[in-house]
Parts: sequence; structure tokens; C-alpha cells
Amino acid sequence: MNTDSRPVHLNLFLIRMAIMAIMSILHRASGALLVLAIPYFAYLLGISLESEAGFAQAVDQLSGVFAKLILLTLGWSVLHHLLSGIRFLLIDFDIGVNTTTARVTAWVVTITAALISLTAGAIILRGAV
Amino acid sequence: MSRRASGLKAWVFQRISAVYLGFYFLFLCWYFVFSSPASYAEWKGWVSTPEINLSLLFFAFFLLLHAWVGTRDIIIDYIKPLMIRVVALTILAIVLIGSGLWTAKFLFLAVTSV
Repeated sequence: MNTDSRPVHLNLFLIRMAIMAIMSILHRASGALLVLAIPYFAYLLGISLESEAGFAQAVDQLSGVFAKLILLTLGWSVLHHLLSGIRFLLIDFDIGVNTTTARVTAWVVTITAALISLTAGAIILRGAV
Repeated sequence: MSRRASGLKAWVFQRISAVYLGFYFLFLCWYFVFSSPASYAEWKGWVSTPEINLSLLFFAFFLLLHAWVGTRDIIIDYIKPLMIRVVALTILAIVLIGSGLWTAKFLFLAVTSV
């Protein structure tokens, strides 16, 4: 059989991805974002414990609109990562493996994380402006 | 054989650490939402409580382990040239170990310098 003439679509924008794939990619992306935040939060923990002034500095760094937007992004990351992680763990235990259920749970994870983050964002920004 | 074993080990580590991180994260959220520390003394007092200090140390350890396995997977998936891959993994290891040592130092100081 001649396989050379088969179309090869590796352009991500030409592939229509199932919601499970999108959720899974977001699990990775959110994980990567959270890893980037590790050194910064280790730094904050250190200075906040070191002295009274360091504590004030850490609190100061976490206030402000820009910091809140970053915290919000990280908040979404941790929420999506946690929810999709629970879903992956359940699948490891053979729960929710069939396609229909997996599709529904992927939607539930993605939408729940997004909705909670947007709501939190609206509340935070309303308070900050 | 040993490579397969290390892959399976990483897979198991990832899941065990995930469970601890998940529960502890909820506990941290509960703490910061309902009894958020208002002062340095209160914050340091909480962190220097023996069970909190130890469980935070475990949290940091599991977090770094989890981050290592996950990011290592991402790097191995997307970075093919061996040299760049080794450099990326080395930088990751240095950053994670550095963050871990820094965190452990201040957690330890919080207990000993009360």
C-alpha cells in the first residue's frame, strides 16, 4: 500500500482536537507555569520568615493589580492542574475510561476551572480598581 | 530493564506526590482563607509549629519531586537535540534543588530561632 500520499497534518491549527486533548495540553501548560513560579514562591517564603521587614515586603509584593493578575493566572493553573489531575488519577483506577464519560469529565474540568477563575478574577479586580 | 523501572518509579512517584500535594494544597487554602496571618509573629508562629513545619517540608519535597518528573517529561518530549536537552535538564535540576535548599533553610531557621 502506498502511504506517501496520505495527508500529514502536524499543524496544530489544522487538527480539530477533542476536549480531552485540550484539557490534557492545559494540564501540561498549567504545570509548566506552576514550575516557573516555584523559585519565586520559595524566595517569598524565605524573606517572609526571615524578618519583620521581609514579611512586609512579601505582603507588599503580593498586593497590587499586576501581582493579583499573576496570582489569578497561577490560581487557574493550580485549579485546572488539580482537577484534571484528579481525573487522570481516577482514569488510572479505571474510573471514567469510556469515551463518553471521559469527554464529559474533560468538559467539566476545563469549564469548572475557567469559571471559578473568571469569577475570582471579577471579584479581585472589582476590589482592586 | 533499569530504564523501564525508573520510568515506572517516576510514574508512581508522580501519583503519590500528587495525592499529598492535592490534600495539602486544600489545607493551605483553608489556612490562608480562614486564618490568614495578620502579622509576622503570627505567620512565623504558625510555620514554627512542629507538625506544620514538618508537613511543609514534606510539601516542598513532594512539590519538587512532582515538578521534576513532570518538567522532565515535557523537556524529553519537546527537546530532541541531546546537548540542549541535557542543558535544560541541568538548569531545571539546579533551580529546583536551589529552591528546595532555600526553603528547607528558612523552615529550619523558623523552628530553631524562636
